[in-house]
Amino acid sequence: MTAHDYNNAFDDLSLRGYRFALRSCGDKELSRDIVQEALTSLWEHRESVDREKSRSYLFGTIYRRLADHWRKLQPVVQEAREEAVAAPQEDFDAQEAVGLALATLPEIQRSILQLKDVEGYSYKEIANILAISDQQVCVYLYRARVALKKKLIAYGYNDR
Amino acid sequence: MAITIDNYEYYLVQYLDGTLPEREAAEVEAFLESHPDLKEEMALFADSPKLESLPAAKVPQFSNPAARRTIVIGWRHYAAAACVLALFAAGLFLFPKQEEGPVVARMDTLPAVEEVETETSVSGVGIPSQRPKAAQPVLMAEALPETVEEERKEETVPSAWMESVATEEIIETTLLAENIEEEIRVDYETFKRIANYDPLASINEQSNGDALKNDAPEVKEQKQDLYLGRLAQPFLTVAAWIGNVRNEKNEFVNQLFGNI
Repeated sequence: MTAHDYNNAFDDLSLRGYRFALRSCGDKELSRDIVQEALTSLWEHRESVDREKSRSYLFGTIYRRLADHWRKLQPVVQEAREEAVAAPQEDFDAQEAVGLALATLPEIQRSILQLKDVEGYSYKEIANILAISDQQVCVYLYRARVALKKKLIAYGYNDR
Repeated sequence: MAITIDNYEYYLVQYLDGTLPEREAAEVEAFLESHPDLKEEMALFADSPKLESLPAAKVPQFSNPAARRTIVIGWRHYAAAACVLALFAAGLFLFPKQEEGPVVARMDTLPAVEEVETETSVSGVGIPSQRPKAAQPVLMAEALPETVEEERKEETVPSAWMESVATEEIIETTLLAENIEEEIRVDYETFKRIANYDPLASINEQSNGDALKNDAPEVKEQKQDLYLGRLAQPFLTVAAWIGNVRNEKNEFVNQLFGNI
């Protein structure tokens, strides 16, 4: 990809990448750092990255950084999920219900939901970003949707 | 391709997306007929809201565990803080601030040394120092330098205190001179009385010797007493006693050696 392609990718993807990182980790500073690193990496590897794959490359880099973050904080992440799973099944307001329901999901499932619903990526592209197979993407997506719906019902959230 | 309980999810997603070929879609429908619970689950999946349609959720934030850990301040912390405060207060109470501690020490030590030096060097006669001792610390405190280096420098240079010592020495020496005059006068009178000889009689006779010469011995003695004053009387008696002792000794010596 050329410098012009990189500029286009930057304009198109920097805010999208930031949104993906922020909704995955919830930390603004960390999200900015991660997106910055990913864009720098994309510039450094612009010779080897095709223009069509720049999006996958950028989101893949962001996801790997996020995965590193979660791995470093594995006890905290685990504790937060256990807390969310153990939350009492009572009526929360909509924001709390959605937050708790999402917190019960594994990170990769949340990322898949994010990439599928918000960014609108195909299974193939999600598989490239997450470095997994198409089938795994479908399986995770299925489990994520079912679990999310179950939790939302349990927390009294009705989207209708 | 067989749909099993282990891989049905992928096919269900594809089936609901409508991307499965007809033959596989029929397999999925057959599979769902034999698994009614999965049919309900698939209904949940199909009914699950898209993430974008959900209200903005508070994303769980996983920050550093050290920063995330909150310190609950219990009674132990309060007790520790109270102990530290109590120790501090006790230290203030037991060891109050000694504002002029080093100055006091210097006032105690330094003038004493100077006193000894002046007494030995100046008099040699052994006259007790009559300096007002209460005034010294005040002078010392005024003239005391702040640091030790300056203090050492001050030792070589005559300070205000040293000047005051000098003036006191002058006063002492004048007192000493008066004493010596007095002593000389007492000695003279004693000698005159014991030896019954006045070396200055000729001079006195020239001036007013007639009065003394013509007086009776009693009147003469009275006049002498008046002249010497009451202060000289004890010295006179002591001197007379010494003279008597000497005379007795001389008599004893004369008796002793005279016989030989």
